[in-house]
Amino acid sequence: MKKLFTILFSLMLGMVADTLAQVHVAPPAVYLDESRTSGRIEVLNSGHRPAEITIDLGYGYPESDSSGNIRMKLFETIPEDAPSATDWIQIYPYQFELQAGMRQTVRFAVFAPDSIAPGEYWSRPIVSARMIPERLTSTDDEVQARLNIVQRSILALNYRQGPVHTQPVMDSLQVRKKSGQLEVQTFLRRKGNAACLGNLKVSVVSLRDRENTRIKSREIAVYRRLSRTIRFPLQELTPGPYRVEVEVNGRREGPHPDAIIPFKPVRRSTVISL
Amino acid sequence: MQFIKKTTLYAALLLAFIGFGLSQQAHAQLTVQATGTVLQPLQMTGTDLNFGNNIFPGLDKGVDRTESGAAQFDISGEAGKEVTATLTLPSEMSDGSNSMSITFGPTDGGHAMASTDQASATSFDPNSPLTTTLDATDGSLHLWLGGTVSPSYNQPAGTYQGDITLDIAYTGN
Repeated sequence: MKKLFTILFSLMLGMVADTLAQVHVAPPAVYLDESRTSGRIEVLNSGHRPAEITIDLGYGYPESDSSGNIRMKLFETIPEDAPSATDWIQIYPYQFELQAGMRQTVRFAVFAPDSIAPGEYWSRPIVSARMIPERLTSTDDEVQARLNIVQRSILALNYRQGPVHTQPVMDSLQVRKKSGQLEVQTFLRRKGNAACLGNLKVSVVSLRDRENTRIKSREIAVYRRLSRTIRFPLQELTPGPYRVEVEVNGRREGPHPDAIIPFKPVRRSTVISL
Repeated sequence: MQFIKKTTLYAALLLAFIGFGLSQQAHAQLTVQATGTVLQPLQMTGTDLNFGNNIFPGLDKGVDRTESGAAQFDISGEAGKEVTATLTLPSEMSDGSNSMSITFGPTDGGHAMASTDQASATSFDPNSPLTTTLDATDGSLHLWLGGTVSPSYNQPAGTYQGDITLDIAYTGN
């Protein structure tokens, strides 16, 4: 009978507000090469409870859908032809309990086979953190429930062997009016043996009034192929002919400057009437 | 001979690398010097998803993402950078022998740049990855998550648990 009445039911991610994982990982990207085959990250537990930390290695990179929306794709099975460094990397420690307020250095060492071709090889260290929950006690007529948070920080680890080079190619440029926006969609791929980190700059230039120019830019990371869409509100553009100029260049901020491999800028343009 | 030299070198490197990683240290702040990067690390904190006490057997109980009981994830990183947040959500919880279902609908997720914007946050499907840009000024992003639990009419008493996994990564874009 008791159970048919109120089930005292506390569904929570933790019993108190601080139980959500508060584990911080830095840096988010590690770049290694033949002369620097080991690197490290730091893991800090700023919460009030111990955390179980596990570090795995995955393989993945940002990819886009047909509309130019981007997500991080992690492969369950690494393709045979993938430039993956995952099998050569040792992690220490890869599993540990981190007390509240403590930090732990985690080291990566790359043992690349001699036979690999020059180029950039990728892996994604995945740092999983689970706060160790307080023990729950329930009485005979209570239901208690808790959803434990597992926080996973997905990092980048890029290893370079020998000379590396990269060059973006713009296969297609599409410009259209859609839902009150001028959409400029680029379809990029990269040549060479390393990921292309760069900047995509789009200029919409009025052919009647040069002062009426709109410019937007976005950083891009082309690991294999990437489609990127940049939108301009049509209400900001007076009717008339426009030239849409697109440039992919190597000027960007972000990861360490060594991570940016110089390449020849790519430009393309088209004319549209608004 | 060359193989032996290389093996010895690898062993020495591995020992050195193990030695460096042995201890945990207490520090108020996270400082990183090696393997240089200027990108700010992504950090997450948050508050509970709390369904409260008024749960009756056989009746669904939901928490809207705009309510105070919704889970809140506060993420911070490099201003203006694009990130992907992926939630892996459970379909049930278990007390070890019994299960209870929980569901997350296509509008149970919300995201905004300011923590005060819970009510006006843009909805997203927590069952799909969310790609968005961190605030251009302070690098913040806030997520809210609601959900619905469905205890059966004779849900046994007990302590039910499950996992929610939040993946967060810069896309590099």
